[in-house]
Amino acid sequence: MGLMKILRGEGIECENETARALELLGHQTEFWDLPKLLSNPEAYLNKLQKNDWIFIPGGFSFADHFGSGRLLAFELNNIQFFERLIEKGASIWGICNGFQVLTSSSIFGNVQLEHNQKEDRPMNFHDRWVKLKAPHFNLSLYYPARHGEGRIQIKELAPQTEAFLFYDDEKFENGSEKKIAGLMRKINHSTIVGMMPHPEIYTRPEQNPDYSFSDINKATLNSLKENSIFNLIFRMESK
Amino acid sequence: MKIYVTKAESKTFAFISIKNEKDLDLDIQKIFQNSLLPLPQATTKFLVRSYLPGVSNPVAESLARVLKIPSKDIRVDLALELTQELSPKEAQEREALWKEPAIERLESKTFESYLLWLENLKIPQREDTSYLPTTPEAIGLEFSAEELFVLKNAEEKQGRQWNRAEWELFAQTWSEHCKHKIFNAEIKLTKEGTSTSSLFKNKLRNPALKIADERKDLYLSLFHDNAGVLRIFTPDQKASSWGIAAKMETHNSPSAISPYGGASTGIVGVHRDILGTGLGALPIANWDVLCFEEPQHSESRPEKALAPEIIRKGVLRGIQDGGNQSGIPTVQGSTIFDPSYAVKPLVFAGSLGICPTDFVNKKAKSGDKLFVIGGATGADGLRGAVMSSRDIRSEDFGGSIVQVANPYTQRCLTDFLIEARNKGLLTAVTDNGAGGLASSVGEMSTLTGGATIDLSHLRLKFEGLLAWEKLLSESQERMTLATHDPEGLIQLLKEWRIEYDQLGELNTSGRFVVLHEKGNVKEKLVDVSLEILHESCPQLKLSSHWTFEDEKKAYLKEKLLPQKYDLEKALSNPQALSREAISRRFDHEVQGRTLRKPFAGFTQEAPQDGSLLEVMEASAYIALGHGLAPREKDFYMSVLLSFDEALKKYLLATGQLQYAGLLDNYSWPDPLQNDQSLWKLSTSGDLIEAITEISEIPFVSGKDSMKNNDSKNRILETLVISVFGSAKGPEHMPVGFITQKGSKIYTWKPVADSVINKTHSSASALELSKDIIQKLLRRYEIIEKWIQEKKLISAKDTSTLCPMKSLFEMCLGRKKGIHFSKENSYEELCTQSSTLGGFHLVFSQNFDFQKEVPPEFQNEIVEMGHTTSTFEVKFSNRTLSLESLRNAYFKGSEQLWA
Repeated sequence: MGLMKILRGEGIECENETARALELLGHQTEFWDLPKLLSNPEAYLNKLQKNDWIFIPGGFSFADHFGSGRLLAFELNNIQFFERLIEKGASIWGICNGFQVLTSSSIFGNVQLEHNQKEDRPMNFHDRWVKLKAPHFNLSLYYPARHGEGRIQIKELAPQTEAFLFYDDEKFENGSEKKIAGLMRKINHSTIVGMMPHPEIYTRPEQNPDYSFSDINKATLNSLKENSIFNLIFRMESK
Repeated sequence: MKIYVTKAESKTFAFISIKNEKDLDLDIQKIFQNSLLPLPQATTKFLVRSYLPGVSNPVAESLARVLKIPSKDIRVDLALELTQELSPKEAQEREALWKEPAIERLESKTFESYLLWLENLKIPQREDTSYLPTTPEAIGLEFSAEELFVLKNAEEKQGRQWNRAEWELFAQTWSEHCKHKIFNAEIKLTKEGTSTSSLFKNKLRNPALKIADERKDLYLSLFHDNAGVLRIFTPDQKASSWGIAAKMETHNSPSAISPYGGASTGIVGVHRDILGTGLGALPIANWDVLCFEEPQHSESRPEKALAPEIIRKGVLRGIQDGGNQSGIPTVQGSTIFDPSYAVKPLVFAGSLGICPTDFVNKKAKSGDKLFVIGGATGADGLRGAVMSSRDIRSEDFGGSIVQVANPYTQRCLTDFLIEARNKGLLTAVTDNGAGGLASSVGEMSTLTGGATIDLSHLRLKFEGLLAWEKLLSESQERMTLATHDPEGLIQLLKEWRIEYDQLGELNTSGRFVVLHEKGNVKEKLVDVSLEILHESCPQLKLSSHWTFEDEKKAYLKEKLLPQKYDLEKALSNPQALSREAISRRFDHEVQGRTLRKPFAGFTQEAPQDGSLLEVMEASAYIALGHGLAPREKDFYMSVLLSFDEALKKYLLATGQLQYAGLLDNYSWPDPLQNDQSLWKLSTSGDLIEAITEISEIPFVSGKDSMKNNDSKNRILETLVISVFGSAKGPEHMPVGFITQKGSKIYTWKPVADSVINKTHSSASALELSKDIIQKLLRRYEIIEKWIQEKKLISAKDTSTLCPMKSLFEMCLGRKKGIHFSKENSYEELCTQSSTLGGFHLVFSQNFDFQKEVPPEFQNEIVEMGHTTSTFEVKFSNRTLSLESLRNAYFKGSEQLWA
């Protein structure tokens, strides 16, 4: 497994918890400060190794006023960021706003993340833990969804792209096509993951909204690490 | 000028106009891709929603940043296509729901006339009278006779008249908003024969300092910086090298006339208080208290007041954007409804921040260079400090005092500031809020005893800003810094792409001097001694004829018998409804610290008291609680209940008494205009002093807003008490819901239900209050002990509506129920009862009641029954499904808040 590089700055918000979660799972992390990266991309890209991962965490990059992720996607595409990562064989993981940056860059094909809708009515930003299905791994997962623009609309998927994560919760509906919560694509040596829910804040039992010290067991702790979506995908990829 | 049209929110368009020589066509194409639309026909009609000239527009600012052009070159307006003329009623509805009052205008225009309007959009050129000697009356400023006497005297002494800029500076520095003249006033209760020379000094600060002096390891900074700071202790009681800062602000006047702008700048502004504490603390959590008029219009409301739903929606959206877009979780809040808040809604915005203890104090030295960084300076936000003390709906209350926040710009500042601090580049930092540079540099100059700044080349959002406006502009998202290494600072600013102005330097001249170019010659715009500016404002002298007897009479007149409720009906009242729909709109988990969620259980429906946050940096936890009880008519009880609610929340989130600090936040109707309000203010001081001395928990920061009234209406006197400090952590935390069947559930009965009714004088009421505080403290210590020993599985503060409500809420988390013992009846549990010191408790299996509960409390802690696995409550004479209560509790909430 390579190094975990995490983008930071320009309105990205979830960089610290993403780093903490990855470190807890035994990985080495490093921040890439966007203003510095954008003005001097070579300094960063030259350090990149095959098997490194680049994380684009959640937040409101460049204030996100014109459709989520658009402005950061524009800035990253100006330095051919994604092309160069893939050329180097690095992989990319976008969470929430990071996923929106990836779709705005058309990495998964003609896919949009639109304003949430519930029963055809617009729905506000919503923070709730939701049950998820990851059929690949035959697993149920539980992570918070915290977004206002996560309704996935697919016109055309890019080659080797598939949905790997689905909402499976009667209390949560954002109008996403086929209840899709995450997409994954393979390009050459690289894996590209995009997902709306936030796995980075569930690595320990006390983070669960149903936590009570009176009925927690040690097995939960292990299964949380074992079945973290981060580890599941890292393992899958290294096979 | 180039114009582009894109899709915006549903059915609306954004008109983007750019005046810059660069050809940006390709960039615009790349950004907007297929959402870029062809220009409309010249005759197509639109309803155009545009920012007033001179007000900054955050939407345009972020686009300008990626296009790398100045933000003044770009404008973004929203437009709704009109297929037919709007009827007057439709127009009114749009106006109410779409436009942000005071900062935007809404006009119907053809596309052609819109373009024409754009071409001619200019800030009018004005003559700069900043240097001209003048009088306050001539420029619409108010000073008291005593204040004028001092300032005129100073004029005579120096042989020179104050100019416009200097009068503006005095008005701002000596405003109630900045100087807290009422809190510092001499207050006499004439008929009671008592007086105090200063509430702030005698009742708040001195008792606090006495305690802090004995615990210097814990209380790191109180009452002198932008926030109070405590040291963080680990759960095993080790001192960490981190501090926790806390501050709560009010933003009532701006929210009354521009709810979204007012609330969003309130939130983002209190973050700047945290950022401006010591050498910079990082905000980690928000909490808010909102006081609104009831959803139905009140009978008595100011003629020009905005409709309650406009205020509610705007304020909520402001808090949502202010918190979410800053990446700071909103973890706790309260909403209070009362007709009195028609005159002004109250928006209290609190924030916690963390800071290494090495950076808790400012270290500025003479010769340090001054910078202002972040947004450019604009015409937005002038005289906010002066005006917030006046009738906000009067004719002279210009729209320019309100702004909208740009959390993104501030987030970029934060990233930079923390790195600059850690690299040792900063010697002082403070925020630019009310009063702008006049206030930030004016205050910073007291660190060394003088400052000289030059505003000639300040970056401006709008050309044509007058010299005095540059000094006083309250443009948001700016911080003022001092550094001993300007080159190092500039290099880092450039790396982070943060814009800046070099202002001047700190010195020991004893003067605050502002230079400005006039023609091509630098002249002194302001030259004022710090002694006059900061130490010569005369003390106010206030007196009230109101007495304890008057208060008791007023109380007895309004006193109601305890209400018996039809709970299902009562739950659908706005005051009783679930706040879940609000909480879900706020990201309460960003940063990954929030270990006690606002709503918990597998259903995520059980409300939890207090907040628990992880501070991984210090391997420790922070607990937070707040309370208020403005609707309680017994004023003594009202203050005690605020304290009790805050402390209960804090304790249940595993907060420890020995590490706690308090905050006081007052929103009051003008005590100068009302004797009862002044009596209450004075009495609250006695109670605050008693709380500090008995609990040995000092107040470490606070804020007061004193003009929440107009000539006819005044708000309820509203005191918010908050408490924060180091906590034991999740492994000790009782949850706010029933976890399993077969456990006994207890209620700890209230300590008291009245003070004023049981006493005959101010002195005896204060004595009884002290007695009650002592009893409360004894309870808190026991609860804390049980939590430390992990004896409490579930616990909850009893509800102000009735005990049945809080018991019902405990059933929500895991859809459990309660089988009540035969002594309890549903009707009795649906009757209002005091909550002072009241708890519902479920102990661990091995808890031995007889052994563990001290004998004197065994009769106060009453067994209610036992928990069951079905979502219902059972009494000897009936069984009730909880589904219908649940429906009532959530149904109206979506409508009201979502």
